[in-house]
Amino acid sequence: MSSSSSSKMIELRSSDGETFHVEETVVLQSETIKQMIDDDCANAAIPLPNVTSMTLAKVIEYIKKHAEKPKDDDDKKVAEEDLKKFDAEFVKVDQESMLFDLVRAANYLNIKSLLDLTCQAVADSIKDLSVEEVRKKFNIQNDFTPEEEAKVRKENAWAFD
Amino acid sequence: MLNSQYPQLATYGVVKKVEPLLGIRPDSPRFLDGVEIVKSFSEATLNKKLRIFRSFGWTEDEIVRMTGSLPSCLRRSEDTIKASLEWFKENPGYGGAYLSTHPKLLVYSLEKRVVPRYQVWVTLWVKGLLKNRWFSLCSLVALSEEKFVRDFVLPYCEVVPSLHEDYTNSTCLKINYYERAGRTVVNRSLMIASQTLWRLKLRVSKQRIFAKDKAFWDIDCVIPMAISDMSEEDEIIFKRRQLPSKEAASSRVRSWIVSDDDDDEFITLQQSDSVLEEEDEEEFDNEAAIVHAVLTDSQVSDCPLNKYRTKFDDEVEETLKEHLPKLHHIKELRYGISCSRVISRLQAKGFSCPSNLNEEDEDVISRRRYLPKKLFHLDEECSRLSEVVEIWWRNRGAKNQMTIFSSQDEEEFGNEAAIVHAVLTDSEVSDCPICPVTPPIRVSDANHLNENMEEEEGEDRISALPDCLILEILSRLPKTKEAIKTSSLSKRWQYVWTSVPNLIFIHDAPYSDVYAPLRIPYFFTNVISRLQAKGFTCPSNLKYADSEYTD
Repeated sequence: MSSSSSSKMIELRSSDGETFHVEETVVLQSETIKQMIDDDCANAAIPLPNVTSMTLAKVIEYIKKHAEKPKDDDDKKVAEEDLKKFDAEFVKVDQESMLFDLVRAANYLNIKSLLDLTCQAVADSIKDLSVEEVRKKFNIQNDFTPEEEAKVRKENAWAFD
Repeated sequence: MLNSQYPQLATYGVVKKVEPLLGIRPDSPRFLDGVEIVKSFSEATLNKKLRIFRSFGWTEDEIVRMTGSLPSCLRRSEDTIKASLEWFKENPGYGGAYLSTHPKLLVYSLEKRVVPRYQVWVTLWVKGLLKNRWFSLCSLVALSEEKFVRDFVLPYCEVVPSLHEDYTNSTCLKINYYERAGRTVVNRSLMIASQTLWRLKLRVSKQRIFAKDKAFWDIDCVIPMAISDMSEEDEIIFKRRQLPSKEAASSRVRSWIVSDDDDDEFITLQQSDSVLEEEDEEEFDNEAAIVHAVLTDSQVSDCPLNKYRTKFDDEVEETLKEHLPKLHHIKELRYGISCSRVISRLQAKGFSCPSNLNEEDEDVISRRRYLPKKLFHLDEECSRLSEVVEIWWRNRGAKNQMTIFSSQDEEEFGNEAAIVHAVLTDSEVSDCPICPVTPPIRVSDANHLNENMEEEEGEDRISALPDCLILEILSRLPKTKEAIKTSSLSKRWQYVWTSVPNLIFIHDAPYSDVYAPLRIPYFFTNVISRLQAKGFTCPSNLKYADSEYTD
């Protein structure tokens, strides 16, 4: 942090009123915030009404890690490996809901790599599950009547083999 | 019984020697073969031959097992037996234990059959083209020449270019014969046309000649007969297959074409049964090529889609060109989907066709009956898959139009279908019934997020995501199949998948389906062109992946 102390700090305010101070270089990973800064709207704290403080803290953790620049080529490889590990750990959240909060936040803040990472994590978590298992895992209410469901399955029977 | 059949044997005591010499018991079904062997060779010779086997380490049991199941292996000369055994010895796994249970391997010619096929198999195996399909050498060697070339050589010609040549060289078979066969595969359009001609001409003898398995080869003989002079070699093949002489056949063609006989009111050109369905795909490809040529004012052969066009195609075209105008006296001509390609190409070039040309409704069921089982499976999948793609297309259509039409090529491509339709139905392009594109079920606004952020345990968070984010997730599933499955989660999910930005089909071909690597890409283009013919436009991000080629 000391090395880049010259960098401008940006103030972000979460939906529950908590403020976070992040370096501008870090926060530029968010296209949404970048746009705001470009439009010169970032003089005061940037309100992020869609992101809770818990989620925002997590997002900041992510972008900070991804803003780290390797010093030389040797370092680069190590850093890449490190980043991969970090990403893998990052999506291992305790609550499923946190993952969806992150998906929403990544989308809202327009951080492509985070959206990729989190969506992929969700996709990975459902890819080998049966329909019933997915419903159970995500508390999805089955509002089809049995006939309707049978019809839907029949329409796409090919996928249900 | 034996005595009456072989009166001389009893006298010479031959029958009695069979069991001690060859170990074949009199109640064995092979006993008579054994008698034949003992009769034809002296005891000393037989013993010499048996000694060869022993010298290669065969146990007595193994020898008895071999002679007992196929006594005729002993008919081969000592040198041949030796050579065979020597070769097998060098290849691990083919010792006495294996050979004695698969004695057929010893009967076939080593240089002309066993070794070349073994090499083909090894080549394919080493290159991983057979996946994990294990074929026993014996079953490979037992295949008929046609089947072997069709299943193991031709399908891989493109991947291993030298395969075909090496094989024909090593088998010392008439290269021309196979070259022509190879040509048929590469140039399926020739096959279509030849079928057309063939059916036109020799309807009477159709059943006999189009015996399912033979179709592949016979067509090949027909074309030279119909189109140009037959070479001597062709004639040999011809005779061997007992087809009518070329004079008789061509005079029949001629008489049919020029006659105004009322009997010819109904001429049915149907698609051949067993000859691969790929023609459909080919046909579509070529229609697109014609249209491409018309649109870009270039030659059909310049079309990037037109992969398989060769000079033989031109030959066929020339023939049809000549005959087409003569078809006018026919009151009704029904033709299979396979001929429409050639005809439409000619139409595109300004040749007129009888206006009463009808495309025969394809009798899917009867066609399937003729499909070999392994193709049947794929066929099933084809129809279901195209339905899936169609649903997807409809729902997606409006939403994607901007990206789809951004590239000019694709716009052209979309119109091609309409033009093809117009050409085929002899109507205006504007009459083409473009399928109405239904608006997507939900259009979500990426920036508009659900305000309800309160968290509760057991809440369905994933369904609460806006469509665009659900789609982000669905598009990251390894297969579109998985995405489609989500349609039955709840009403919320029913149509979401239809808007996924990518379609990924990974075909898990059954291992037995040796055609799969060859066929599936065609199938895929087929699905697309069918949809295009219905007026759907093709998005650029359609992906095709074959399990064989995916990592």
